[in-house]
Amino acid sequence: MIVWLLMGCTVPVDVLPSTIAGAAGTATGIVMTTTDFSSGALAVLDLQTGEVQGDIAPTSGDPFVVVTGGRVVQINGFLNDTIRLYEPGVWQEPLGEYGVGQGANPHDALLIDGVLWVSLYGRSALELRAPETGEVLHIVELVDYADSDGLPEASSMVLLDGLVLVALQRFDREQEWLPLDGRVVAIDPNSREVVHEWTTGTSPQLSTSPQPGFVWVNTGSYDGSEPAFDGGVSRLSVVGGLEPPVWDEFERQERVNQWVEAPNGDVVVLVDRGSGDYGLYCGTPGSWTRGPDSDQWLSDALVDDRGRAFLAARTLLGGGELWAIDHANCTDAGRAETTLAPYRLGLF
Amino acid sequence: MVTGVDLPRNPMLLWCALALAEPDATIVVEAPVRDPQSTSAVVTVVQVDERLATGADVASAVDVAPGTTVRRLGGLGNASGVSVRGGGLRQTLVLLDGVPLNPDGGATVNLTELPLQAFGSVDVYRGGVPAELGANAMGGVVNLHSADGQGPLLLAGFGTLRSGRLSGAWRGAGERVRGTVMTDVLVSEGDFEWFDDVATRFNLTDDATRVRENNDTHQLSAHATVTVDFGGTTLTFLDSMTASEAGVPGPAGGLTEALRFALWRNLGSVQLVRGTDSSSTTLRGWASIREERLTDPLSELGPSSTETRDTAVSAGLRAVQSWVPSDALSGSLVLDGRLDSYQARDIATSQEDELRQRAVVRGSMVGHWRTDTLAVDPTVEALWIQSVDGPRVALTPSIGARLGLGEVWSLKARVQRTVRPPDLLELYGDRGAIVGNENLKPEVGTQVDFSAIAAWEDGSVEVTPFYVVRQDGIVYIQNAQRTASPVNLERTEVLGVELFGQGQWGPLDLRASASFTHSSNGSPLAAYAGKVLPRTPAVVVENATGVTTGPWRFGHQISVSSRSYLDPANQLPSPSRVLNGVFARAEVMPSMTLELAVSNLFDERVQPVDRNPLSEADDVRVDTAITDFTGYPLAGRTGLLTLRWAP
Repeated sequence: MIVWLLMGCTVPVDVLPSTIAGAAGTATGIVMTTTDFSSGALAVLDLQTGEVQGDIAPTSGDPFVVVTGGRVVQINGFLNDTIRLYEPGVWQEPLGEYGVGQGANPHDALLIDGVLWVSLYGRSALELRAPETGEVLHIVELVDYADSDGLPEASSMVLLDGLVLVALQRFDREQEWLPLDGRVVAIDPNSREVVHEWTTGTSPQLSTSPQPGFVWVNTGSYDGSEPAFDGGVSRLSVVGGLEPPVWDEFERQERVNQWVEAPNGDVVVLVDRGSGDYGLYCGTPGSWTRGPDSDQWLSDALVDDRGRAFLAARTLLGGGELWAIDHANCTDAGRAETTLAPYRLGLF
Repeated sequence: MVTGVDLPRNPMLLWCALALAEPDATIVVEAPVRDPQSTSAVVTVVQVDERLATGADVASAVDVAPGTTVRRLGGLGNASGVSVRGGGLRQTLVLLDGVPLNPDGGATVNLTELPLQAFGSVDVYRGGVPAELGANAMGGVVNLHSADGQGPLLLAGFGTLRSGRLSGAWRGAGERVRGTVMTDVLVSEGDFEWFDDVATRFNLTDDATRVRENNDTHQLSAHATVTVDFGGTTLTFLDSMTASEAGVPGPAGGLTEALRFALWRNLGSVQLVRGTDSSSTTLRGWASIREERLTDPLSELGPSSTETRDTAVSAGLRAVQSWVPSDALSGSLVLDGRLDSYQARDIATSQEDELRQRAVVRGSMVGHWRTDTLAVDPTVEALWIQSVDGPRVALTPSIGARLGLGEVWSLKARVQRTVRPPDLLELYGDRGAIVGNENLKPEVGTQVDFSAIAAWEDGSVEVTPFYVVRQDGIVYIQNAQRTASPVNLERTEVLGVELFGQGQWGPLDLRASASFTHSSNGSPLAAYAGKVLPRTPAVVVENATGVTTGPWRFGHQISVSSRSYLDPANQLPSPSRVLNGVFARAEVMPSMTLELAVSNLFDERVQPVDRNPLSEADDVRVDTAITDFTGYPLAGRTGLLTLRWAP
């Protein structure tokens, strides 16, 4: 099987410049899904060498990857509905692989105390599965938060203060996928009951913060294929609830595609200005440094523990690059091509 | 991962007009010349006769020709299309008695819409196409000729998958009037068993045999042609209609539950031909309407409209003036023009998009010079296309030659420039997740053929090396909001050789073809550059053998395809396959035959494939469903019992 790492069967696609090899950190690599939405593959960046290894294993054309609980969860979403579980760095064969049901459209996964929580965009409930066998252990019903189409569109999930926070995007499929106000619900993993809920703007996404007690909530929708500039980014705490936005899309006329906070508090923001104009910012709310602009869709970002951010950049025509950014200065620290364009990233 | 908007993974929605039929130099008022020996074009003529199974469909007949790859979305009654020499389905032009169903190969024709028994023969042009056919299609031409005959024809069949077919025809030929009227009803539940690996190749415990769901088809077709001879002048009316409603089950690994597709289309034409010994004039008017209705109540194609209805209307005129000043010299002037219109409606919201229209005009000058042994056919053609940024003009010259080498042998060569204007869906489409691009340029290509043919009384053999290059190919690209939009991107090359042979030896007859192709994607994208074209196997072999003895006829077909890929990045291999079919037919009463045909005789539904095709180190092979070249699983063994009565 996929012994590219352990058996030396590597065919490196590209190597990022050594300038991005910074101080030693604990993370060893970035696992990414690459896709042209027709087919996809798993690829890996070795953070020590800067070497990008593409085409480890095929995925669906709608592949997502999450690193959680010491495992890499590779999710195949729309119309594919499968999950693979890998031990990071061991790509020969997944620890487990299973379907989650036709039309379930898995969106995110969290591994908590040996149980894999899976959000399903095409179902009204979360599923809690045995991570390796896929056996359904529990269901957390969320139909109470659905709109008239019966689906709450559960998407991203994060852990906060021991609770599982789930973003419910609430599109009304009976009205041409009209984006309604979203919800974030907090679920007690022990009782599996919803213990808190907050109303948000449209189409919420969650991202973690290294600051204890907070997560980021990013909202905003599209009008056709252009950003509607109707959302923003706010902090959310269980105690204080949703705070006023630190980023107002309408005011800035920039939609936030991704909001990622580094361990040192730096935030990397990927923005969509419409008409194929994309860019990024680094810094802190109120003090932004503008990074390189791009006509490539910046679809995902993460930060490592060496002061770098990595971005998945996709051209309109399907090619793509993995960008390394020095987020202290918001400058380009190197780019590497991948066979198919990178789509989602995970740090391990 | 789908958020607010998403892409239909399989834009199969692209299923969706004036020519003379004469491929020969001399325009003849009577039936078109069908002898492939007489034209410099590379064409295979498939007679719809007793050699084919009575229950065969148009796709089966087209598949006889080398260089073709028929794609079926399952089994009996399911949609099918043909790709020629690695071209796209949209690049193949389909003609009914020379009248285009998809002008300039604009949209994909579902061959299942057409009842084979309405036709007497099928011409499959694989390379350059004579200008008299009214096209320089990039992906070849399939020209179906209406059947002749006398008296009624009744055909009734039923089979596995709860399938049934009932056809009735009246055929008449008087002194001045001849014609055929045929209706055909086809139903199939399409509920065959298939091997589902749940798209989890590392997990064999969940593999299971499942019943194909949402795969039913209900179709009504009618085909009528009437020709009236006024003595030196003929008037021909043609009408072809199809109404169908079918489930769209999705490919393995992308199943749907409730996605439905309904179609109503009608093509009508009137043709006047007036000829003398030295000249002929042909005038034809035609119109086609095609209405497609897509229902997606579960948003299985993504967050687009849940119910849409698209209407495409084309109407055109064609005039051909031909002269034959001498035995050695002849020529034609061809002028045709058409107006295309397209409108999309969202049924759910009652929203009606703007009516889009586009004009296309084509003019050709065709020359024919021939001696006893050599014939040369130069053509100059210009295409004028109305577009948003002004008119576009394309020149598409061609030249072909045929050299006779005695009674048996002949050589052919042809070079042709081809153009396909973008269709209206590509220009103006708006189906939620698919949005058109008004700035598209036409696709262009060049075809080069050489052919050596030996023909004798009872058979022929043919060897045809060819080279095809296509540029500015239109492909759909998804943007950040997961909306797919077409762009001119693709550059492809296909080099190959085609073999074809047929013959009869006493009670035994045989028809065989083989195609060996090397295809290469010249895309600027690293992921695709140099890769094999998707859905294009390097080797395809088709063989049909039959034996007739007394009232019995037995037939056997074998179809072999090498491995191909489902995706342009060549990461999703589709396994090679060998499929066999047989039929036995008996004349049970005078003018009445009963036939049992079995497809996929050995019930081949599973093939081993590499568990990880991207890893040379992983030599584990696992079972996966045999699919046709689109990812749709093929049906296993199916049977069809057909009664044919033709007094």
